[in-house]
Amino acid sequence: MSAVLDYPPANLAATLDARLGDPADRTGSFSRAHCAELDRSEEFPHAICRHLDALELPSYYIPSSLGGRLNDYEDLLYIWRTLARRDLTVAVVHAKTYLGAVSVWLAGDRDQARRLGSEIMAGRRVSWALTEPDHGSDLFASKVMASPDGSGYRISGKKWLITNASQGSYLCVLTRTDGTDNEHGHSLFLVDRSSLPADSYRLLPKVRTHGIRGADVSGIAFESAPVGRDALVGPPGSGAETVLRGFQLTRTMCTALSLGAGDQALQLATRFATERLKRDRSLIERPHVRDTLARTAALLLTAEATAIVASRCVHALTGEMSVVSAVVKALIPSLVEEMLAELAELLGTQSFLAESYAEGAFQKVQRDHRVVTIFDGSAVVNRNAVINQFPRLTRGYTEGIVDSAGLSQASHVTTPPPPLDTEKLQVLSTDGCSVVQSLPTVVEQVTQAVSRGLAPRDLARAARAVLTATKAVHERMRETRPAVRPMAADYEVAADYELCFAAAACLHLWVANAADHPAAPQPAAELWDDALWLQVVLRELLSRLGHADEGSAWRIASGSPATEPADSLERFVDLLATTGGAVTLFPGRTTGTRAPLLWKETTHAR
Amino acid sequence: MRADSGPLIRQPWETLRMPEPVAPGPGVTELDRALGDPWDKDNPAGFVEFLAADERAEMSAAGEAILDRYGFNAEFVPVALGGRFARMDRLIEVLRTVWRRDPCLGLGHGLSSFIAAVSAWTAGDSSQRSAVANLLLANRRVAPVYHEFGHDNDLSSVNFSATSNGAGWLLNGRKDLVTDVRRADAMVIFARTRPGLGSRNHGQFFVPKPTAAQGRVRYLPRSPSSGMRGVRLDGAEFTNYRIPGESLIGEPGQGVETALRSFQITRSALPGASVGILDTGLRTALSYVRERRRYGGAATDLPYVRAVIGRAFTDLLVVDAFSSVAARALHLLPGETGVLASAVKYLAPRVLMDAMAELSTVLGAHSHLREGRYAIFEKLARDLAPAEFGHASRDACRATILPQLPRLARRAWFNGTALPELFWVGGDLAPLRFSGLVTGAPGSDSLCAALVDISEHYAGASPLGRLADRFRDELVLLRAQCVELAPKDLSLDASPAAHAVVERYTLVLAAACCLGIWWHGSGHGVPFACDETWVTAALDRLNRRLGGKVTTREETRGLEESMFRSAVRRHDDGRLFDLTGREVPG
Amino acid sequence: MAPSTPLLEQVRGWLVRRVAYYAQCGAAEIDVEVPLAEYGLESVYTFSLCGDIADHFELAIDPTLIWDLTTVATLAHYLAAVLVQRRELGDTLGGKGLFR
Repeated sequence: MSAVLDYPPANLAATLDARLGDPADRTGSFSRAHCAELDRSEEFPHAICRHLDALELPSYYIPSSLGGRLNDYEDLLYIWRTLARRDLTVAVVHAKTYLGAVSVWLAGDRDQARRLGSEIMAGRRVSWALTEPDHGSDLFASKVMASPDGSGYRISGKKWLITNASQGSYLCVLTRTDGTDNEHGHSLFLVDRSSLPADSYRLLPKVRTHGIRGADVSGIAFESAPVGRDALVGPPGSGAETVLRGFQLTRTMCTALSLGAGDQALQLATRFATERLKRDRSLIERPHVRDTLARTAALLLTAEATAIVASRCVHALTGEMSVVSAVVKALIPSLVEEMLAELAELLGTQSFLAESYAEGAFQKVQRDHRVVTIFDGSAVVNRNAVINQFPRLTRGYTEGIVDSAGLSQASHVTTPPPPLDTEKLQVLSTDGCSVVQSLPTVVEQVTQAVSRGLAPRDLARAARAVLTATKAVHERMRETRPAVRPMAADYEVAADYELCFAAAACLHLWVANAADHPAAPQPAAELWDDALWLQVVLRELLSRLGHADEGSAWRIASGSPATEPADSLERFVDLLATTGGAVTLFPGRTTGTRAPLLWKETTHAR
Repeated sequence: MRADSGPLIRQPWETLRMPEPVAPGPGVTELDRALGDPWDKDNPAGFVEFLAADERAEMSAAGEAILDRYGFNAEFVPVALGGRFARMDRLIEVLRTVWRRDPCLGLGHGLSSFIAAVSAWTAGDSSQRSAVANLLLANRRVAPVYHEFGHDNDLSSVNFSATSNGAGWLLNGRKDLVTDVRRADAMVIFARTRPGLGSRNHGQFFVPKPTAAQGRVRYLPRSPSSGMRGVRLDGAEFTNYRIPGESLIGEPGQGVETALRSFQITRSALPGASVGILDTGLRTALSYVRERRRYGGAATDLPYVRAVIGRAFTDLLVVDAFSSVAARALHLLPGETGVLASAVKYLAPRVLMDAMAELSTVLGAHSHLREGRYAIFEKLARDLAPAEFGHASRDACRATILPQLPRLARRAWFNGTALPELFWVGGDLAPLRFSGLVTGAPGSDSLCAALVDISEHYAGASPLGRLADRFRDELVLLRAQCVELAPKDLSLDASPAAHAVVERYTLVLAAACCLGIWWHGSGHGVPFACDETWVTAALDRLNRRLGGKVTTREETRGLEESMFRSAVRRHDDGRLFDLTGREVPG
Repeated sequence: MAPSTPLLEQVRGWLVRRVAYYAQCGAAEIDVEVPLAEYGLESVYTFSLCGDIADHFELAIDPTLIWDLTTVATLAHYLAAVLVQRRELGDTLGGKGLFR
């Protein structure tokens, strides 16, 4: 019997997880109990963040070319997911430094980047000051002005709802540097708060929020704050473009927060369903509870597979990230929100009590996750971005434009992805989206795998159904007129396109890696037996895509209630029960146990 | 034993006899006036106060004082006992008036006492009834002592025991979630009176408190919650607590039966009250978008925003239509409300929650803030959650509905007669008779009958005609599936597809309510009745849940746009978004 | 009024078949003296069984009847008695036949 496929980012995550200690151990600093307490008292998780700093986690926020360890975005995905699985608040406030720094990695000069890198390694936090009161998601309606003043600039105006505005030593601030309203009128500044005269800015009070209560969500009011020319990130007027390119990385990576939240919720619910008795039988024996767990776990696996492919696209299909990032940031938080709602129904009262089951962790993760749907671009904002690219996407689909080499690198997880060339990040993808545009090919590959007996027959049928649904979605995309203000129904077309993307990503991931997954006794290997995970994932995606093919299928299954659940589903739920809801395509194994440096080595040994 | 009195033959409908009139005095207008404009920052019982109370996880004292001065609790006491409760529609309207401001206040300082009191109204003797009435009329509270962890809504499996000791009863056990039990002046306690399976081993007890030296009640630490934070949920542990024999409400063994009957009233009322949450949610979202500019224009110019507002308004009307008709059915067709009350409780909170979730995409980050001008939205969205799992979860409702569907499908859906009065929202009603409430097993389904009837008379190519057909077709499909439901599928072991049957059935019922109000309501003073737009939009929304395409993209857009415009008009006019469209402060 | 034996037998036989159907077992396994709850008939089945009785015998009954008369024997006895009574009253309630 062979071992499960070795996936270094998962090993990194497992090692980190082991070093963070048992979350159920109340004495540990990163324990569930401590996080619940910080949430109640709305306190910033200083001690936990220091712990993460001591583990040199911030090195993963700095590109390896600048002396950090970020050379594979899958690592970042898995680190954040691991943090978020324990506590979303901690994950958000710690991760924010990467978001704050990304503009400098993309557009800053080398000296600026090096300096920021060493500051981050020294434990300084960086914040990203984009939003302002009254403009919300409309970033480029910015009123904060940076006016030339001698050799530098003076910044005035208010940035608000900024994570770590007060905790951050540095803020990367989006300002207007031009009186005109055009897209070249914005510039970014990396502001070192300690260098500002005390009377030139005011920190705004912590804003009380629904979730991530312990986070520092606040703001800053600049009052003619002087900054040098060296604070500019990139040339004047490049701010909007840098932010949009930065989003392509951050939006892709933020899906890790949803994955971690989904992991946590599924594990809480699976444990609840296993332990809770109803009429002398545990809930997990009841068919509808099994169904809920199976469907929510399928959503989580969908999200996982899609996020993995997307994080590899950062390296391998960099030029297409304007599509990929928007698709996954709209899709994955939405899928996890749905999961949370379904699981809340399963937990009933216990989803609502703040100190009862598992320290009230469920209500906390449900509250905390709401912020992931909002910040760094909501689903509405991201769908808007995808709708604007419909013409290219439909043309690319019809013409079958595919970057085959890139796609192959994005899908084969056993090979390290090529280094990221940030120059290739472009505001709009010229080639559309290879992941979706290659769907006919990957469906053909699945069909061949089935005919060779490598997968059950149902899988070929499901793959063909995905193809049919995807064609229909592209028909609807073609009928959509691009507009500054799209119609409400267009957002639904975009949402369906996201499902097509997810289905395609899952098919690619399976085709590329199934051969490396011979049958094995480990639970994760069972997920690959008979393409089990792909079966449950496609079943769920197809039930959602049913309405894409207009008028053909009812949204709610109208099949005969007498139908027995598919065998694969039963196996899947049994697997959930034995793993306590911890299902993942690529489980990691812990590697080094000594110093943080050891877990760096695991990522390089590929 | 009920059987001794012979089989109960129930007439589906009796001659209209009016409920006892409420003595002239304050009503919903006065309550609205007393509570004032909730948006007014200087209002001591406005959103500023309710948000502050929520932060402290306390009830608003100012709000409680106003409700007491108004005599809020009198709304729960039958007219015959000196209160103002005679009609379900009035009750819901009054509750909604509080719910649109602060649901904590409505639940903690009102509805929870009512949940306890309906047991006495339904099955208590005259001295119990007058004792409960006197407490409520004196602004005191009665705590419903039901909930035990692990038995959430499954009353017949509770462990808390009452053992007869000849002269009285000894109470022993633990109740985990009781609303404000420390401040209550009396309790209605649900307990097991003998061991064993089945539904005849329980009793409900009316227990005034405090009573000296009866044994011990130990209050357990409060259970904080993520929503309805102001409402105190305490635990209580009873040890050899002695109560007199006459504490028992009704006959021995009647506890479950009483709950199944009386809770039809409270379960119908809760979704109707919760409409108030969406009313304020919609008002908040409208204020927000009307004050904002986005992408070079007014936020209200964004088609997405217009659609979401239009949809939320429609959803609100759907829930109001469903709960209004169910409320009328309690008066007019109590034989059917065993199923209908559960159906409303099953579907309506979900529709409201989904609408709030969609509205939050319009409010963006403001839907996440506990401060600022729109903070009430975040609080109300949290407060809505228990409407879904509290006082009968979706699971419990489903377990009530599912076993009754095969029979209804066999005999009732396509052979019934519609009862037009059911749809005369706001119109005359027969008295609500607690004795007329039955545990279940109706042989008729007047809503489905109305749907079948209307769809036969109103076939056509219009969107509404097609939608009506769509729901009738769904009923045909449901019939075929329900008559084939296997025994396993009626139980806790029901398959997911059997569960979906319940969902689809409740969607059909909600559609029938909207159609019925439109078809039968015109000419009977039902506001809105003759307007085809809202009913078409309502069915279109319900059909989105059912799935399948009936209207074209353009038709749907037109409906959403019309609904958006009428929501804006109501917002301008300061009127409620519900079927009444009543003018309100703020 | 003691019901006639063939009627009682008929009612009992019909009830046994219905209970066996819901309990998902053979009719032979149903002991008419054993409470229905012990066959694993969860409380939800009382609604279904009640509906069956109402339709089959054309009687409107409350589901609580089955909570009170917990065995096939007592239930059959009661139903047979009601049916006889109705027959003697000239069949004013039931319409045409008692049995279909």
